[in-house]
Amino acid sequence: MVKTPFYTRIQQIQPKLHGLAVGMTLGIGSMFLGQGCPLLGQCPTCAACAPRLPLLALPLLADGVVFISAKVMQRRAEKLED
Amino acid sequence: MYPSMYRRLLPHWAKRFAFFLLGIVLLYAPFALFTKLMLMLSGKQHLGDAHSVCLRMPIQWLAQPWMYGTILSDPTYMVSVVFLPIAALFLGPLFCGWMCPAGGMTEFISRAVPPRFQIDLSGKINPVPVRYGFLVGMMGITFIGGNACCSFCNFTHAQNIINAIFGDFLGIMYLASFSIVSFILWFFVMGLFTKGGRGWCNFLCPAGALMGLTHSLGAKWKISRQIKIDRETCTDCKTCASNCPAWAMSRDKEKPVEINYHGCNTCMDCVKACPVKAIKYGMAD
Repeated sequence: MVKTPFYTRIQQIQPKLHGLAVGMTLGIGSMFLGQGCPLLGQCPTCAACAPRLPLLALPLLADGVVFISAKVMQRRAEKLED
Repeated sequence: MYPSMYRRLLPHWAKRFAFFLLGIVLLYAPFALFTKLMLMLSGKQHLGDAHSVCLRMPIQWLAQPWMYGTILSDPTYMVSVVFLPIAALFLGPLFCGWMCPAGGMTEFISRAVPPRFQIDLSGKINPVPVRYGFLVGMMGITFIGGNACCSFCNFTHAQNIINAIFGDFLGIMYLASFSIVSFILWFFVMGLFTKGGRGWCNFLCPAGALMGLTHSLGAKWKISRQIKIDRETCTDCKTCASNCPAWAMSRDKEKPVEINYHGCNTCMDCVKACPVKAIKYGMAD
C-alpha cells in the first residue's frame, strides 16, 4: 500500500484549516464586540483592547505556518524525486 | 421574480413558520412561556426573556470547569449545552431548522427578497469549518479574560426586535453602540441579502455548531434520525442543494449530491423540494 505523504494530507484538508482559522479569528474578534469591552459593547475608543489585538492574528498565523510548511515539504519531496 | 420552487415549498414553510412563532412564544419576552415555566420550577431569579435560555454563555462556560456547577444548578443554562445537543444526537438539530427565533426571523424575511439581490454562497463555501473555528475561538477567549456576549448575539438582536414590536424600544437603543455592526451583519448582510437567510447561523452560531457536532456523531453511529437520500431514485438534479438554507448539500456537478451532517439543520426543505421524492427524514439504513 502506498502511503500518502504528510504534506498531501495537509493540502487535502487545507480549505478546512483555512475556514477553521478564519472562524477562530472571528471568535476571538467577537471579544472586542462583547463584554470584554469596559462599556459593555459600546466602543469608547479607549484602546484598552489594543494589547489583545495581536491575538486576532494568531489563528491566521498558525494556518499560514501549516500552509507554507506543507508547500516546503512538497518542494523538497519533488526535488528528491528529480 | 421569485423561483417557481417557492410555490411548492410554501405549505412546508407555513408549517415551519408556525413552529417559528411557537419558538418565539416559548422563549422570547413578553411571552417566554417555556423560560418562565423553567424559572418557576427551579426557583431561579432571571429575566423571563431570551437571555435566560442563553445559547452563548453556557457554551463558553464549557471551557471553564469552575462554571459547571452553575450550569448544572440551573435548567435554563442546560438547554444549550445539554438538552439541545442530546436532542440533536438522536433527532438532528430540529431546533435550528424549526424553532430558532433568531435563525427563523432572518430566513423567513429573506424569502421576501428576490434571489437576484441575494449572495448565493451555497456550494461555493463550506461554512462548517468556520463555524467550528468560531466555536473554538469563542470558547478560547475565556482563557485570556475575554467574553463574547449579548452585544454580538443574534438571539439578543431578535429579542430586541420582538420587544420593539410589543412597544419596548429599550433594546433598539443598544444599536446606537458598537453592536450595530453585529446587527447589520446578522440581519442584512448574512440574513436578508444572503440566499437562504441563514448566513449567520451557518458561519457563526456556536449553538448550531455544537448541535451539528452531535448530529454528525449520531449520523455516523447510525443512532440519529437524519435526512437521507435514496440513491436509486435520486436523479442528481441538485434541486435539494440549491434550496438548502444551511448550504449543507454539495453542488459539485461531477459528484453525486452529499449531505454534510455537520451543517444540516433538518429544516427538511430538501425533502419537500425533491421532484422525485428521493430524500427522506428517518433512521439511517
